[in-house]
Amino acid sequence: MRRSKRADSFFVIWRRIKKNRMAMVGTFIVLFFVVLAVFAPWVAPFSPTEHNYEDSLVGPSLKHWFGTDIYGRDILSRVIFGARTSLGIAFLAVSIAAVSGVLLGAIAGFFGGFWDELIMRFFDILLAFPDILLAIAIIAILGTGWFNLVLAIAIYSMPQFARIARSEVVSVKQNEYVEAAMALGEGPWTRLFRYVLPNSLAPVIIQGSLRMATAILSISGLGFLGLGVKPPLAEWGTDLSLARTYLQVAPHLGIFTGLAIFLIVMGFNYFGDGLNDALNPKLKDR
Amino acid sequence: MRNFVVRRLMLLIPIFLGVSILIFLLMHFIPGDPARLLAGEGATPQDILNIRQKFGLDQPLITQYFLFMKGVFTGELISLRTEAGVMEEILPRFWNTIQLSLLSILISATLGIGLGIVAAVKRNSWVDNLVMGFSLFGVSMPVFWLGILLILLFAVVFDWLPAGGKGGFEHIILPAITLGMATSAIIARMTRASMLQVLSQDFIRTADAFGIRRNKIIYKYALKNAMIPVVTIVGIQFGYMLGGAVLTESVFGWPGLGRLIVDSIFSRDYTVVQVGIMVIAMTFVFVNLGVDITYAFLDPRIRRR
Amino acid sequence: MKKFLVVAFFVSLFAVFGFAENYGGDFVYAMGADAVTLLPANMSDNPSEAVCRHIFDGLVEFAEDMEIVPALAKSWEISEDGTVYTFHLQQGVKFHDGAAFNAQAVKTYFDWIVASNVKRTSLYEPYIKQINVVDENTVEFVLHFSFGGFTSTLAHGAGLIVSPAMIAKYGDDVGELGKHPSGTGPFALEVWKRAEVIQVRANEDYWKGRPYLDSIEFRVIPEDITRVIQVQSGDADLTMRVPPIMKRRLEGDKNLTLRNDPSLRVIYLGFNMRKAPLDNVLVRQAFNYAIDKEKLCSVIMRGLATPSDSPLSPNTWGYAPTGGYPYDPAKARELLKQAGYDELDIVLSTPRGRYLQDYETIIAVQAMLADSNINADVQPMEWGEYINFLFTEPENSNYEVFLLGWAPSTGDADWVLRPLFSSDNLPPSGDNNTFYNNPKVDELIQAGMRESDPEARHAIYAEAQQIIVEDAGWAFLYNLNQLVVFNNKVQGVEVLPIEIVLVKNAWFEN
Repeated sequence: MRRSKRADSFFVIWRRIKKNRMAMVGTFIVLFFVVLAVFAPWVAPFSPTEHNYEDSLVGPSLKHWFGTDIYGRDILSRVIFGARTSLGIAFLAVSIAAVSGVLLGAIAGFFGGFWDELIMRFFDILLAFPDILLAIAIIAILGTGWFNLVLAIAIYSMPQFARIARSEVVSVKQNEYVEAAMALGEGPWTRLFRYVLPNSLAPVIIQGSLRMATAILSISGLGFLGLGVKPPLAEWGTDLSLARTYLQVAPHLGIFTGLAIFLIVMGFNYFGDGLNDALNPKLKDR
Repeated sequence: MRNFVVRRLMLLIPIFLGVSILIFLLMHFIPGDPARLLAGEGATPQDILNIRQKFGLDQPLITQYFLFMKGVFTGELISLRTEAGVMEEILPRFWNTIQLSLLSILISATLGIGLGIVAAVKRNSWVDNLVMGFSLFGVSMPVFWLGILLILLFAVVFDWLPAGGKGGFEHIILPAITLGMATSAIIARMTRASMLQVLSQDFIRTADAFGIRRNKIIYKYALKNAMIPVVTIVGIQFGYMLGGAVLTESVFGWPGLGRLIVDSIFSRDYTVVQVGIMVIAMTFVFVNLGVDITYAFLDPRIRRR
Repeated sequence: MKKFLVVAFFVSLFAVFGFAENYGGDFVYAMGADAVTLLPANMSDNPSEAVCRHIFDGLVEFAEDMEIVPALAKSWEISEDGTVYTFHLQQGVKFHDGAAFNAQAVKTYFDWIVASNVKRTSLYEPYIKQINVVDENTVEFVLHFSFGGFTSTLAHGAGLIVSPAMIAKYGDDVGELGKHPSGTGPFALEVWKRAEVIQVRANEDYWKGRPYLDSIEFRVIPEDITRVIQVQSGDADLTMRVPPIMKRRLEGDKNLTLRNDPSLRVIYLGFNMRKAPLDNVLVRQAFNYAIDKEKLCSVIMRGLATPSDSPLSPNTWGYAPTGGYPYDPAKARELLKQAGYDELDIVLSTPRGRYLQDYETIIAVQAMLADSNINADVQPMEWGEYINFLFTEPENSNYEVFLLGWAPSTGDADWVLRPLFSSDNLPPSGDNNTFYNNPKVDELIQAGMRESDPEARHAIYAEAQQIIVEDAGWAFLYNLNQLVVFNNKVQGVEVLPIEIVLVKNAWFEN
């Protein structure tokens, strides 16, 4: 009974997304990159890490569609494997941030009082930090590497989720059915997980999609500052920062990699916006 | 109204303390001994010991925190790296960031509000589509890539503008555009949405029914009301710019505060990082407060919350 | 030296005939980082030294070939036992603040360094016993013991002499003293905007005659490539540390002059020999065979480096070719097998941006090592953290293999072999952080220090180099060149092998 109802609402949302052209474009771009990332070893024409000094800094050609870098590595293959790196890190970081942020926000909103003050003031402090500087400081402590990147981005993405969850919980918990559940003697945690949280999920999912876009921008930004993943792993921002020196001699190094970041971020933005329209029809024009 | 402002100001105190403690702890968790670094290549253990004593780095953490806070209020803190006063290091750099952010917010607010109005008025036309397209383009563009492309185009290919550094007015143009791109997109979207909402409201329809000219409706009645949320977003974005200019500053070699802080993290110049981040965080909080107060002033319903 | 003489000849010729068109012009000198301090005795970074060498003079200075030539000292004598140095000073010289330069000024400055706790106190404090003012224009340094390198330490950046008036005023505040430089040099500080620009103006009363340029603006632009673009577009007149990839393009630019000079810097991979398996000479030799140095020089450095076969660069006094290690991955794998490893996992640490193309080099090295079954986990670090990491108490040394460079500021073999390969010179105070320990090499280093006959001394150092290479004390990478690019209207640019570029004698051609 319950499952079919959920399936129903899924189809309703999907139908709304389908009607929204922007959302469809976004869905398509995101899916395209996800497929690239998952099947990277089969899609990429070359190994992203194999050096071939005879082909150093070759422009786009039939053999190397996007050209090669100074080590003779195939840029197309590095762009494809870079999707794997960025999507993987962003997805993990946003998931961690969403789960922990929503949980803390929900606790704050549901129980109120002291816990509310404590948790939300802590997030206020985190929000007062300029976000990229916070990530830089965290990486300076933990060192570079992909998992530390996940943590840094998760930590500074958390407050937004907590705020959304809190305000949703505050408004949902006053609904009659929640009060009815309390009257029936269900404990606070049961009520929180059973009734309040599921009803707050829509805005969290929208935020998650938009946050993916921000996370990917942050990953490449940190990579660009030299605080990204370790070599020889392919990562767009890191590759772009190395490409800077060669732009006059080999402009192709700067074009395709940047375009990949731009496209996927745009995909998530379109997708998140479309989702927003589909889930909140009354806010369609915002 | 006064109560509202006082309450909001009081709330700043815990945030101020929280930020100072958090950044202090963060900096001390970062591995690396600043004394060793300051001593440079070829220093003796005695040199390092002396430096540690000189800056109180041999004291327990809690003492160091109180020394630091005391220094913040007396203004006696000095940079570990240059041994000049911390504020002497920070203020000129902060001023550079403010200059960049001001020009940037000016460009993006003008552009964003203009485009937003046009899009709302010509709703669903090709102009509207173009503006919405631009706004998504703007928020999706990685700043450093935009910076690279602008340098490639305007400095390398055409040689119209300098590639970086700080000098005359021509040096600030590319960084300001780069920094403002995303913001102008956000402002354009906000303006459009807000205009559409106001235009659909009853009093506008009434005015329309009274036969008042459409231009007058749009620019006299609708715009005024639509600007309230736009002012908010401009303020918040300006706050972000002050702290989030690190990437732009690093692409263009702009000597702003963001880069000073990043460089200081790497050279373990604790005092500059701590005070620098507090300056940015507090500015951000104050700008937000200013925005909230303006908002409350414009929209009395908020004050009661 | 020849070049210097030719320049000097033309300079004096122009001066004599009064070609006024050579005077004037505002010079923009683009550099990668701001000066940290303009107090010579307290600086340990390259940009500070480059600026200070335009504002201050020392008793002696380095010529382009590292020969020590007179500056504020016209001439000097060394006592027979080598412990007393007597300097005869230029007369009628004034500091920018008006104070007179004389024997007392020299004494005041060096006494102040020795008594203070500044970064270069340890450069003089161990040697200087006392300084005597013989008369107004004669000063005498009495050393604790004979030390052949003493004039080199005076030619070092820290030996640039600061006005006694400033020491009297700010002597107890190093930070303030570093902001108020007053020397006898050809240019005086006008404006210093942190992280932006340092402006200096010609000293009209300079004791060698007014410099040609009216002013120099040292402009700070951190990114290597951005600085080059500024020189290309004419916004700046000169910059250094040019990325190798730009060499050909810049050579084709008719408005620019490119200077390509060897520096004394050697780039190498060091091993932590306290750690297995890096204590095994076979493993270390495997690293040497696994790395294709020719490819590093030709592809990554685009010909701006030469493969290294010794801890000394060919331009350092005492260098002797050893043959080095050819690229031979099969041999590398075989040596690893002999040592008992089919495969090896190591951590490879590197700074990023400290040396030209350092990070690019490490990525190439990582791939080369992988071909010889050595899996390197690259650990890039910021310079500050890196120095801390590499120079700690031996028992805390957690690094394995690391990239580092060395350029002897004296230009002599001793200042490479003694600090880096003496078994007793251990960190944190010493520089031998590979923990290299070979009694024979220790013996040769001591012998080289005591030997006064150049030929015999050279033979001693040749033997030491041979042993170090056989021991695979390092994985030898390359010797760096320095590429400097400037506006081709500029003449008289000096490039010192210690990676300092001077324009104090430069002028614009019409």
